[in-house]
Amino acid sequence: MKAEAKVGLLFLGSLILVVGFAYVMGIITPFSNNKSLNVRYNYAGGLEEGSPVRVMGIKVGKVRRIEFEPGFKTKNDEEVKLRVEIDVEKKAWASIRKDSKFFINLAGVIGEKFLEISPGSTNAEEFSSGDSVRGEDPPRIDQLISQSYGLAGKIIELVNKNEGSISNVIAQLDKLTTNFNKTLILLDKTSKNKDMARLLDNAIKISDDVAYLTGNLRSKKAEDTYALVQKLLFRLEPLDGPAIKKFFQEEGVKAKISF
Amino acid sequence: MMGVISDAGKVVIFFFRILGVWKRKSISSQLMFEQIWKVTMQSALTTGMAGFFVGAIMTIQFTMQMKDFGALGYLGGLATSTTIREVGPLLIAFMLAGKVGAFTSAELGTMRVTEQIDAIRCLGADPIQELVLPRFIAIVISSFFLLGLGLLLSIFGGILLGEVFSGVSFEEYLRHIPTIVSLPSILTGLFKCFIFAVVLAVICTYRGYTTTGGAKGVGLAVVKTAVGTMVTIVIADWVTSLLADITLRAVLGT
Amino acid sequence: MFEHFVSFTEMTTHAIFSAFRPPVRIKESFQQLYFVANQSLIIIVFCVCFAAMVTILESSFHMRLVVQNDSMVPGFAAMLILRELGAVVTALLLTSRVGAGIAAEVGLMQTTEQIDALKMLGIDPVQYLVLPRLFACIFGGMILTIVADLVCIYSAMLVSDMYLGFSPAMFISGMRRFVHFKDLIFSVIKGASFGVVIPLVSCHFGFRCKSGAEGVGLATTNSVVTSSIVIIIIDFVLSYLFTHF
Repeated sequence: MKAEAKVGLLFLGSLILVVGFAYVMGIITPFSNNKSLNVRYNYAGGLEEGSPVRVMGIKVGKVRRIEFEPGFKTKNDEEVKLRVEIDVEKKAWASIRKDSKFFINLAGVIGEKFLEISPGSTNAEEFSSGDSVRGEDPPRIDQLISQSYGLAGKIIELVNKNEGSISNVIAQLDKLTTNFNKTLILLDKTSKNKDMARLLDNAIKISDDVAYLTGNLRSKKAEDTYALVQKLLFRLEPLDGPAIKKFFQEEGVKAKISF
Repeated sequence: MMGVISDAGKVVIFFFRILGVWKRKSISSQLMFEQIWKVTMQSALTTGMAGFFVGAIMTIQFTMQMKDFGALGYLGGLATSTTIREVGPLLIAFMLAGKVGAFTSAELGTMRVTEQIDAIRCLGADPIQELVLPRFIAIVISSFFLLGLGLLLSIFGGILLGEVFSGVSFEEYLRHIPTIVSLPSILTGLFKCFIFAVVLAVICTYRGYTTTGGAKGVGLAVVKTAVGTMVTIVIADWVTSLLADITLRAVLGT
Repeated sequence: MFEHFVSFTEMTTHAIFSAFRPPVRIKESFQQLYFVANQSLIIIVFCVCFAAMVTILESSFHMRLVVQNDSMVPGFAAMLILRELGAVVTALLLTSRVGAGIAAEVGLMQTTEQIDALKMLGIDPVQYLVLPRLFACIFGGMILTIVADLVCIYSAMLVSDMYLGFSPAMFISGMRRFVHFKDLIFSVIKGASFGVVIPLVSCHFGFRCKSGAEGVGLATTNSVVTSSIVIIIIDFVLSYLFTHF
């Protein structure tokens, strides 16, 4: 065999290797029988092109494209500005119905994002390829954390200020309702007026409920819970924004938190 | 295929011949230290540069990955550990194969084809004792030092790039090194360096010593040395890694 | 040092300009490509396979150390292979095999005054000798890098299947998370850049070869060392550049 021919053979071989690699990586899909859907979101929570699409936890496709469409409005006049085009394999197509829900979820150690489709009921219609559907916006972790952080601060403040008085208040409330109860029973006995009786009846019911409630509030279990909540809040208090971020990073959660 | 195997056999025989000469005959320490000094000085700059850049490259690559994890803190330890255990010895040994190995085999080859080696034999001296042995020992010792130097500079390169490229301050970088780089890692790295140094020394002296056929032969000897050392180093890298892994598993009991 | 740099630049620009002038030595170029690519193939595939095994072993060691499990080893190893090891190991092996060979060959022609003879015949030695080798090394570098990358990944897959118990499907899905197709393209770009360096440096030292066996040996050694260093530096620069994409 001539040298040129051997070189050509090697060249072809490397070309085939590249094509094979591209196929394995899912760049080219010559034998695809995929159908596509346009899912619309206002917030995509870090979804990327190439992120997997799962139905009932099984990977059935991936996100092909993410585009911004500023002017788009759904039928009921909601502005949805993000279009996520997904490919779904044929075998899973029948499980996706018009009442399916499209979530964005987080999985794995490094926090890979994926699009989860809940299976629809068989009564609902099937989609046809290329349909547009509104997805469920994921909760924004950054907002959630900043909100809960503010809330935690307020609760700590409250508890710290009134630590002694809260239990006092509960005890006194309990005493008060018992007294009130007694008074009401007394009143019931003395008064025979029908309207009055009904009113008092209601009042007794209410106060019974209150007594039950406060009784529960004072139970051992509730006391434990209070102690636990207070401990938790106490531990949360010294953490500032960056520290929470670091804590999450140490836990291996890929959270894009901005403070 | 047969050629490769018989070459390997000849190298091993040559190695034992050198060891035999070393055991039986004395070696002039002055000659040896001269050689050590020469080899080290010649190659220090090249090896240092190679080490520096290898460390820098590894830091860049790891930064890309660590950013996705959000675990940049581990950067120092991980990049250093990988550089010390695997990439550093391999790439720096490749450099040394080019520098020290090729140079020595060219030198010995020139002596052979210009019949200086035969002249030494005519004078009643053993050329292995006079020429090969000092170089062999010098290459083993100074390659070991040079690899160590390269590894140190690779850590330095990693620190610098960590500071400049990935925004990890050098205190942070250094602080995480001891958490991941353990004694076994360093021992593995040093053991690899030693094995590579021996491989390098024996192949280049053998190729130089057995050169034939004028200037063309010298060129060929250098090519063969470079290729042979690199291939053997890659294999030795695998063997030492495997051995280290097995020992580690046995020691840790996992 | 400086003088080397000047004459190297001179030769390079000369080579680039003479590339657009006839005669083009197509047959010789393919002969060189055969020497560079086909004849280095076995040695490179062999070395790269061992490098893959080491990478897998070491990655699993590190993963167990840092995150206590080695589920990310496939992606990690494939990333390291594709971004660094494939191209660099190939290039360094080419340097020692092809680069040193070119330096010895050209150096020998210089010492035996064959190059002067070429000049006498009115043939431009740079165009006659450097260009076919340049062509061969660039294309050979690209082809060999592709082959080395993929063979390396394949053997890493086999090793992780046998030694660490990752099935090929797990390996590929792990790999997909870390590796993109563009990494292969970057790797090929690296291979081509290294392919430019090797013949130019080797021919430069070959042309400046001093007579005698010692001169040839020195030229060969210098060409190997210089190309290796330049390759590592270029690798650093390219890695840095590619992080921006």
